Amino acid sequence: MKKDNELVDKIGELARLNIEDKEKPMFSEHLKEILDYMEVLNNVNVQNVEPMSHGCVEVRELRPDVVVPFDPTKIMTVAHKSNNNYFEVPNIIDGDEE
Amino acid sequence: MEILGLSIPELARLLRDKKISSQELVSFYVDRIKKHKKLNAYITVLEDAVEIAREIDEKGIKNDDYILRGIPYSLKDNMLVDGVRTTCASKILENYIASYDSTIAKRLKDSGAVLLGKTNLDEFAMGSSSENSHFGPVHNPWNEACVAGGSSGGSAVSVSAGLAQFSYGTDTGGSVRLPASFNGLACLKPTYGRVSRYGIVAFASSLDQVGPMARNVEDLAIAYDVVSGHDTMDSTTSIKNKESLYEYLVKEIKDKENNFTKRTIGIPKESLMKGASKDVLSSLEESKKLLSKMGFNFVEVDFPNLQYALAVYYIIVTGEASSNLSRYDGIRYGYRAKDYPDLKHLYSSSRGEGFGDEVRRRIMLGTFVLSAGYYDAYFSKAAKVRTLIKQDFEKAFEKCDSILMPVSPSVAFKMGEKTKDPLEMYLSDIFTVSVNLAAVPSLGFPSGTDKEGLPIGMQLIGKHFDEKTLFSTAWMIQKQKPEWFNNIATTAKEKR
Amino acid sequence: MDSENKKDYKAVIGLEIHAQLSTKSKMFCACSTFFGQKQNTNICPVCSGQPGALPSLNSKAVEYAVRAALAFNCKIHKKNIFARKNYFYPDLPKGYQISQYEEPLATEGWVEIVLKDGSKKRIGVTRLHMEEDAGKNTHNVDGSLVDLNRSGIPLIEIVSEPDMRTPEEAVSYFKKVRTILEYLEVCDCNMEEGNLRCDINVSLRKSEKDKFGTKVEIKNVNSFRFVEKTLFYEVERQTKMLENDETIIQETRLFDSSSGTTKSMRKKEEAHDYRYFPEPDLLPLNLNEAFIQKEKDLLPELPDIKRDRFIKNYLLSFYDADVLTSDKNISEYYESLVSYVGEPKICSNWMQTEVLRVLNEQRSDIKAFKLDNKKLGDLIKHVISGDINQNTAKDVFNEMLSNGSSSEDIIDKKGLRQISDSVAIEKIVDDVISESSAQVDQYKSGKTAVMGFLVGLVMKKSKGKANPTIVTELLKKKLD
Repeated sequence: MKKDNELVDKIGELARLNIEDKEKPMFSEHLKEILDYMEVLNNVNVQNVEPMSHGCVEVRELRPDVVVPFDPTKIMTVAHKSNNNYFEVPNIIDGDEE
Repeated sequence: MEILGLSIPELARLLRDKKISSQELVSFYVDRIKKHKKLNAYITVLEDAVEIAREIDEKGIKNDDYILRGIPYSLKDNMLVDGVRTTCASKILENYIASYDSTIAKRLKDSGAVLLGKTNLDEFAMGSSSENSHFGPVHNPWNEACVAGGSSGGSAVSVSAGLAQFSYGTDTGGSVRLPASFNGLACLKPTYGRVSRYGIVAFASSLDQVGPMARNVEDLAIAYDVVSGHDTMDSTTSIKNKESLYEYLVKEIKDKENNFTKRTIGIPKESLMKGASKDVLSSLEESKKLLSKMGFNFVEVDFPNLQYALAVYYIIVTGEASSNLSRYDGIRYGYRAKDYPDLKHLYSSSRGEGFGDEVRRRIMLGTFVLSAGYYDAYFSKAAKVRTLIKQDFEKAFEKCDSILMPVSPSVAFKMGEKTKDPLEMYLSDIFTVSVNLAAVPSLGFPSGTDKEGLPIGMQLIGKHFDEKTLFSTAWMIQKQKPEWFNNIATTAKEKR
Repeated sequence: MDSENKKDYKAVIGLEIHAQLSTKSKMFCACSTFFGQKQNTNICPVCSGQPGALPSLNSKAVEYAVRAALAFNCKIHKKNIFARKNYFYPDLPKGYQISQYEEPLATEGWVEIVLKDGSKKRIGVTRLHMEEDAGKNTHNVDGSLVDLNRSGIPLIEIVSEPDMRTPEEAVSYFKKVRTILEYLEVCDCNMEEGNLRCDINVSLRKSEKDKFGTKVEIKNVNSFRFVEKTLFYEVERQTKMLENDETIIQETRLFDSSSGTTKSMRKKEEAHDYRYFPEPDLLPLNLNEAFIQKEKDLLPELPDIKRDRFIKNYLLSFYDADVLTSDKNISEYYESLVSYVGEPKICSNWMQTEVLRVLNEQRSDIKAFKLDNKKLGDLIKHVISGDINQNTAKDVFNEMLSNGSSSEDIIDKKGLRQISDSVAIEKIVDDVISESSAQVDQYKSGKTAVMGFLVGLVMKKSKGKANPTIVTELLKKKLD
C-alpha cells in the first residue's frame, strides 16, 4: 500500500496536483486497476509499425509572417492577480522550475 | 403551432413567410429552458438571446438569407464565445470569461443563428455520463433517474428535451455519439480535420472533433455545413474540398433516391460485439433488416485490433490531456487557491482544488504514460497500435463503403451506477473509441427504443472524408423510419 | 597549488546557443515581436496560453532556420516534427514549450574557428532545431512578475558537440556563430536585448583517452567576456574539487558577474522529466527540395569565405581580414572604401585604428557611422597624395565627425596642407640644426635615437605641417 501511494505522490508532484492524504488510497487503487488493464497491449507486436501521432496529415502552406494585433486588455482583465500589467506570482527562487 | 416537431428548413420557411418571428421562436425556447431547469442541461443561458433575435427580426429575414438566420442553438460549454463565461463544467474555470470567439462560434454568429446558451458536460469533456460536472449532473429527459450520456450530455438534452433546435458537442472517444444515442438524436463525429478546433478547449488534440446534434438528418446536415471547412487558425484542419451536404441531400439524393447506387455495408463480427445488451443487438438487427430491404448489401468485417482500442485510447487521451491541462494553474486566469506558501503550492493547490476527481485521475494517468521510463512501453506503443487500428479500418473499407454498429453496449444507465469504478465507466466507450483513433467519420442515428422507452442509437462509420455516404444513407433511413426521428422527450410534469 | 597537477585536468566544453529569429510575427501566432514594448501588450490567446488556442507555424521562421542550418553545414531533415517539452514555470503559459526533440530540423553540422596561434579547428554542431521562446520573469521583494511579450518568439537552438577544450575555443566558437547569424540576417544578434543566449556545459577529465567526466551546466551566460570568465572559474572550481577527491555533482549553475563565480541553482531531487511527445496540433513538416534550394540561393558570402577572399585579393594579413569580416556591415563598408580609394592595406589600417575605435567608444554600429565611404575615402586620399600627414589626418577625422564638414573644407579653412616643398623645409631644418648643437653632436657621435627628437623639433617649428619623411631625409643628409 505504501508503495502504491509512492506512485501517486510522485506523479502528483510531476503534474503539480495536490492529492489529500485521505484521497491517496482511492487514486492509487484506481490507477493500479487501469494500468493493469493496459497490460493487454503487451501482447501486440508493433515491429516496423509507424506511430500515429496526428489525426490528419496533409501538406499545406504555412502562415505568412504578418502581424495581426490582438487587444491585450481582454487577456489581462481575466488575470487573477496583476501588478502594473504584469502577472504576479509568489517569488520564484532560481531553480524552482519543475 | 407545434414548433418542436419542425425542422430547420420548415422553420426557415415560416420565418420568411412571417408566420413566426425569430423573437417568438427564441422566447419559446428560453421559456422551455427555464421550465426544465431540473434537467440541468444548461450552465449559462444568454440573457441577450431574445434581444439578438429581435434585432434579426428588425433587419428582416429574406429568402436568400442563410437558412440558419434566426434559428436558436446551443453550444457545449467547452467552446469559447467572446465575452461569455466558459466553464468546461469545472471549478477551475467557474468564472472564466472567454477573450475570443472559437471559429465555429464565429461562423454560427455570421450565419445569423441565435445562441441560447452553454450546455453542461463532464468536466473538461472527461466522462461518458455527464455526471462529472462541477455544476451537477445532467438528467436524461426520457428518464430523469438515468444519465444523459457524456461528455456532451447537456448538448444532447438541450435538443432532445426541446430546449434548442440543434446543438454541438465534442467527440474525443464517443462524447457526441453516446449522449446522442441515449437521447434519440442524429449526430455526427466528422472526419478528423473537417471542423476547426480553434477555441475549443482541448482534451486530446489528435482525437477531438466538434460534432453537431439534431433531431433529424436535414438539420444535422445544415448544422454540419455551417461550421465545417478549413480554418487557418487550426493547422490540423483539412483543405479538402467541402461541398454543402444539405444541398446535396435535397437536390441530388431526392432525385436519385430510387436509383441511388446501393452500397455495401460492413457489419463487425459478432464476437466483437459481445458486450452489447440484447436490446441493442436486436435494434442492430432491425436496422440491418431495414437497410437490406432498401437494397444495401452486407459483408462481415473483422477488426483484429479492436480488443486493444480501449487501452490505446485511454493511454493516448490521458497523455495528451495531461499536457493540454497544464495551462490551468491560476496564474493568468481561472481559479487560484487562497493559501499558498510558495510557487509550487500555488500550482498544486489551485489545480488540486480546481479539478474534480476524474480530471485529476486522468491527468495522473497521462503524466505517468508520458514519463521517463514508461513512455516507450505506454504512449509510444499505444501510438503504434493506433496505426494498426487505423489499418483495420482501411482493410475493412476495401470491402464496404460504411460500417454499421451500435454506439453503446446499452441504453442510458442509472445515475451513480458506474461512478464507483472508473474502468467500468470507460467500458461504455468500447464501440466508439476506435473511430476517433482511426480519425474516420461516424454518423449516429436513433434506431428506436427499448421497452422502457429509452432510446437506442446506431452508428454508420465511413471512410476518411466520406461524410457524403453517411448522410445519404441516414437520409434514406429517415425516409423509411420517420418515427425514429424528431422525437421530443416528454417529462412527467410537462403537458403537451 | 601544484601547477603540474592543474595541467592534469583537461576541460571538455560544449555550448548550447539560443538565437531569436528576426521575424515580424511570433513563431506560432501573429503577435508582433517588436522589442521594448510595455509589458503584456504583444500577447494574444495563443502565446498567453488561453483555453482553446492553437499554434500556427510562421513560414518565415522555417525559412530562416533552414538558412541557418545550411550555413552551419548541417544535414537538413526534410521531414521533421515538433514536440512538446512539458514543465511548469510561470513564464511558460501553456505549461509546455513547443520545440523539436526526436526528429529535429537539422543535425551533424560544423563551424570552423581559428585560434590565436593561427591553427584552425572544426567544432561540430550536433543539432539545430526550432522552438518558441518563453516569457520573462522579473523579481522584486513581494513576488515575481511575468511579462509574456517574449513568449512565442521564434528561436533556433544550436547545440555544439563537446569539441571545445579551452575558454578561448569556446569564445571563438560563440563569436563565429554570432557572426554567421549576423551575416545571414536571420537574427539581430543583440545580446543586450536577449537575441542571443548561451548555456555552457563543462566537465573535466585527466586525458583525451578518458571518457567524459560529470557535466555541469551553466545557464544564460550572455556575453563573450562572461563566457571566458565563467569557464576560467568553473574549470578551476572543478579542478580543486577533483584534487580534493570530491565528486562533481551534475547540476545547473548560474554565473554571478559581481563575484566572478558560478553558483549552484537550488538542487532538484530528480533530473528533469520533460515528458516529450510529438506535438499533435502541428503537422509534420515536409520540406521539398525547391524550398531548400531557395534558401541555399539566399545564402550570402559567408564570413570565412569572405575573409579568405580578402586575404587573397587585398593581400591582408589573416588578423586584419578576420577583424574586417567579423561583421558583415563592416566588411561591406571596407570594400566600398577600397573600391573608392584603392590601397587596401591603408584602408584596413584606417578601419581598425580609427573607424572601429570610434564605433567602440560610442558603442554604435557602422550603419550609424557619420562618414560614408566617399567622405572617409577623400580624407585618406589626401594622406596618400601627401597633402597632409597621418597625425594631421587623425585630427581632421575627429573634426569631420564632430561637425560634419568635408576633409577638403577643413584642410583649406585651417590651412593644414603639409609643407612638402624641400626648399621650405630645408630652411627650418637648418634653423633647428643651428639651434640644437648639443643634440647634433650627440647624433654625430653615434646616438642615432636623437634623430627622433630633432625631427620633432622641425615638426614643432613647422606647426606640424612639414612632411616628416622629407624632414628625416634632409636631416640625415645634412648630418650623416
